[in-house]
Amino acid sequence: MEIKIESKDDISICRVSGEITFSTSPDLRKRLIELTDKHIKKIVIDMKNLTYIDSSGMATVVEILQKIKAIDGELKLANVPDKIKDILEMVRLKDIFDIQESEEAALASF
Amino acid sequence: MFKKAKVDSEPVIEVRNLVKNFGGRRVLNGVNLKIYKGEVMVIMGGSGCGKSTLLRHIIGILKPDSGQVLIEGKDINSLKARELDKIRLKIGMLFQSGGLLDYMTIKENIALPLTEHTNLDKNVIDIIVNLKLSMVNMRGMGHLLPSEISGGMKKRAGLARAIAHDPSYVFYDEPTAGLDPVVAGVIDKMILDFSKKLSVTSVVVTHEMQSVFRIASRIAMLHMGEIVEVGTPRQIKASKSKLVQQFITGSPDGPISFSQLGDDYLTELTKK
Amino acid sequence: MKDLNSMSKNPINAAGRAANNFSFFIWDIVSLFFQVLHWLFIGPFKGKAAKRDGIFEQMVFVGVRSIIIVSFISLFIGIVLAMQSAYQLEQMGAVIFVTGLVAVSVTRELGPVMTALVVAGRVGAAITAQLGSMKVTEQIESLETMALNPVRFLVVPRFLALLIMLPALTVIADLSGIFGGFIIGTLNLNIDPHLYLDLTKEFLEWKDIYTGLLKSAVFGVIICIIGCYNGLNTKGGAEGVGKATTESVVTSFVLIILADAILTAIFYFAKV
Repeated sequence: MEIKIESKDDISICRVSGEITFSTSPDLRKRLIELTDKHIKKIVIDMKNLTYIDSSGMATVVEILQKIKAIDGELKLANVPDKIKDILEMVRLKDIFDIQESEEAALASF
Repeated sequence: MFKKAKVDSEPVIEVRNLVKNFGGRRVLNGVNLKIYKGEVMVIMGGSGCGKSTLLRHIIGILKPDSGQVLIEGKDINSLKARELDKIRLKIGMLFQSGGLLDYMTIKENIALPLTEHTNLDKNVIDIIVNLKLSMVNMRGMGHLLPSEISGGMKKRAGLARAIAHDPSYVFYDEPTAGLDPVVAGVIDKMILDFSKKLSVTSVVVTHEMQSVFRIASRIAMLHMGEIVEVGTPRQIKASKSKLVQQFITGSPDGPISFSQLGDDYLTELTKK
Repeated sequence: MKDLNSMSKNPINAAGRAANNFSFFIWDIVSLFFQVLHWLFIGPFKGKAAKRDGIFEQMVFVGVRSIIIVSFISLFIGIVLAMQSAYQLEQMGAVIFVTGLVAVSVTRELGPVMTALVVAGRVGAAITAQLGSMKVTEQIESLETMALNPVRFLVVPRFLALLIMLPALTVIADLSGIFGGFIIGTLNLNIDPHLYLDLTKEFLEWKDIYTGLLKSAVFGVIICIIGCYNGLNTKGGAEGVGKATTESVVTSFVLIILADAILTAIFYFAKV
């Protein structure tokens, strides 16, 4: 798993690629919590090159969503591959997230 | 709704010539079985034909008298404890009665594989537990003890625990027996979803014929400790074996004998 | 199997089989003990220590909840002992020696043994019943499939709890036994309270106390290993749990007395 974080104005874009598993999700969590701790209210997670996400990955993203909502911020998911969408749907998470077609759409939607 | 899983060409689990005796009674008599990645293999057969025993050999709880069980090419009975543990972390098993630890709440039970084997944060584990609870339709019941819920719920909670650590192989011992038809349908759909969307390999032991044809990629019929036939549901339905046909239709007359009396019936009755 | 059944009717063969079973039993007990030691001393260095919260719960169960019954019993043992020995010593006009006799026999012998027997009946039986019912409801198997070693998970916390709490309970038993003697000595035999305590201190040596505590530590090991062994090897449903529990208490009693005799002999001949 690789994480790249880029800031545009007041928005942070987090590009995750590879596989999020039990062993890698703590790293993702650490990076994302750094953002919410800095009170960044707008975060986009770009999943374009994400091949797999396990329960711990989904739980991490859910936790961040909850944290960001607590500070009146917004979390968007962009470029979610169909396979990942399937997995999200399986655990009934698809409707909780604001899923956008592309990064641009996500940026525009704030 | 019940779309079948695709099957890979690589056997991930292989059972070779498995023999097991219990107190002089031969329960498994040279079982051979290949299970491929991502498929749902259903092992069916009458009560006491050795289905559950076979399943327990595949997960390495029981040791065979002879024969081998290979998971990902490794003979699990000759592995060191630590290597066996590594394989077991990829395995989830749903026990007939749920197998929940009775002194822990449902939540603690489901969290157990995660707290013991991962370095996940407690918050993340809590969310995973809630996700799994909602998957088996048991939201808000995590604080209860196993003794406080019904048998069907125990089974569902057991399923939530079996899949808590996202295993690659899930084994089900009678997953839908004793459940109402709707919940049984939900669990069948979950089994299929795992295999289709997450390429989980499933081995299901059951004799609920409705479930069998709903979920199976392939079916193995076990009778008197031997595999009598393996095939896709279509092949099994078209099977010429009287044994298989009798089992599917549930007819009392056939090779699985209840009504036929042996020649020594009189001696049997009067035996002291 | 028919052969084996007919063989067991032959008394010599039956005796042989019993001896064989007995040696298996001893082997299993010893191997369980070494597994516990492995998880205690080698496990932690592999990052797999026993669960600390489990140990605390077990300590409360073993120790705190046994305090009342243990002190009650040894109080009366002390009283009875004082009266019985006074009856003998009065004839020689040596009633004053009741002080030392009660103190030494309680700390060296009766405190540790009575405490162990009470705890074997209360805690040993409970351990077997808990583990036995876990065994017959697939909970032990489910631990194994989750790559959680039942010995580490269930036996080690109980082992530590008994190893720590049984000597602690013995100290309480010693004190209340001596207090029982004190009641009779001061109220009935009219020994001055200060004199009674001074004499007790005079007669009692450190080695009396620590040999007693050493004994009780050994008894703790026996209660735990026998209780867990019978629990983990329970077969045959609820009835099996009852049988295993009885077996566990009886075996513990016998082994405690046996170990007591051996240890006393060692201390006696080594002049400790």
